[in-house]
Amino acid sequence: MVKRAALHLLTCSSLRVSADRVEIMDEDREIVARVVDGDYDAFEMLVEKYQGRIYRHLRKMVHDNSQVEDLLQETFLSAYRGLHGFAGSSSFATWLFRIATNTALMFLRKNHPEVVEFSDEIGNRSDIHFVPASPEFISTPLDMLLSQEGKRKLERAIDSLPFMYRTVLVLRDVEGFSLEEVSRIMESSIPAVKSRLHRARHSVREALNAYYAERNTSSKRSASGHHD
Amino acid sequence: MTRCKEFCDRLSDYLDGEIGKNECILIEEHLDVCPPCAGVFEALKTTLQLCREGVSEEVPQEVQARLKTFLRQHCHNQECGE
Repeated sequence: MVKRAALHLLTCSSLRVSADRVEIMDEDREIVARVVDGDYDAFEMLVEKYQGRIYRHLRKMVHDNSQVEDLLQETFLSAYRGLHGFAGSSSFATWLFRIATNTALMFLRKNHPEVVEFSDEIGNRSDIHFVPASPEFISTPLDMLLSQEGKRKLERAIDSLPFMYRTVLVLRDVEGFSLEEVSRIMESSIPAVKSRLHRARHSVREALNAYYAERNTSSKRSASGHHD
Repeated sequence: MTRCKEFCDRLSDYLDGEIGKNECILIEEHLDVCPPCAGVFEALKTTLQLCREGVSEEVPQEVQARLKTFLRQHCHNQECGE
C-alpha cells in the first residue's frame, strides 16, 4: 500500500511537472521568436535562464573545469547561429541540450577519445549484482543527505560512472528530461537509454549505500571509544 | 534471491512508469512482502530524489560575466541564424 501511494505521488508529481513544462515550452518559443526577429535582449534572457543547467551538464560530461567555460560559450554561440533552424518540434531545452551534448562529445572525441570509446564498461544489464539496501542510508533524514558532505558524496558517485551512464543519468534524473527526450539528445534508442539508466541508478545507490553504512560503523566505533 | 533480483531489475522502469499494469501489480505485491526488495526500492527512490535536488547548477559569477561579453562580441558581428 505504501508503494502504491508512493507511485501515485510520483504520477501526480509527473502530471504537475508536465503542465509546468508545457508552459515553459510556450514561453521559450515566444522568446525564440523575438530573438529570430532581431531582439538580442531576448537571447540574453535565454542565456540567463539556461546557463546554470548547461554549465552543470557540461561539467558532468567533461570533468575538466578549464574546458567547461569554453564549451559553455561555444554551446550558446552555436545555439544563436542555429536559432533559425529551431523548428519547435521539440522543446527549446531539448534542442539546446542536444547542442551542448554534441559540443562536449566533439571535444571529448578529439581530446579524450578513450572516455567516449570505453564508456560502456559497466557491462550489460544482466550482470548487475543484487546489493541489499543499507538501513543507514534509508533512515538518514533527507536534510542530512542534502548536507554539503552528502552532496559531495552524491556528486562523486555520479562522477565515477562511465561517461555514457553518467550523461544519461544527469539528463534524466538531474535535468528531468523524459526518456524520449534523453534518447533524442543522446541520439540513442529508448531501450539503450533505459538500460544505461537502470545500471547508473543502481551504481549511484550502491555507492551511497556503502558510504552511509561505513559512516555509521565509524560513528559507532568513535562512540564506543574504539580506535583502529 | 534470483526472483528478488528480477524484481529489482524492473524497479528503475517501475519508477519511470514504463511498465504495464499487470507487472506493476506483481511488483507492488512483491514489495509488500519482501523487506529487502522494499529497502532497495526506498533506497532507489531516495537516490533519485537526491539527484533531483542535490546537484548544484551554480555558475561562477566571473564565468557568467565572460559568457555575456563573449556572446555580445560574437553575436553582434552577425545576425541570428547566420
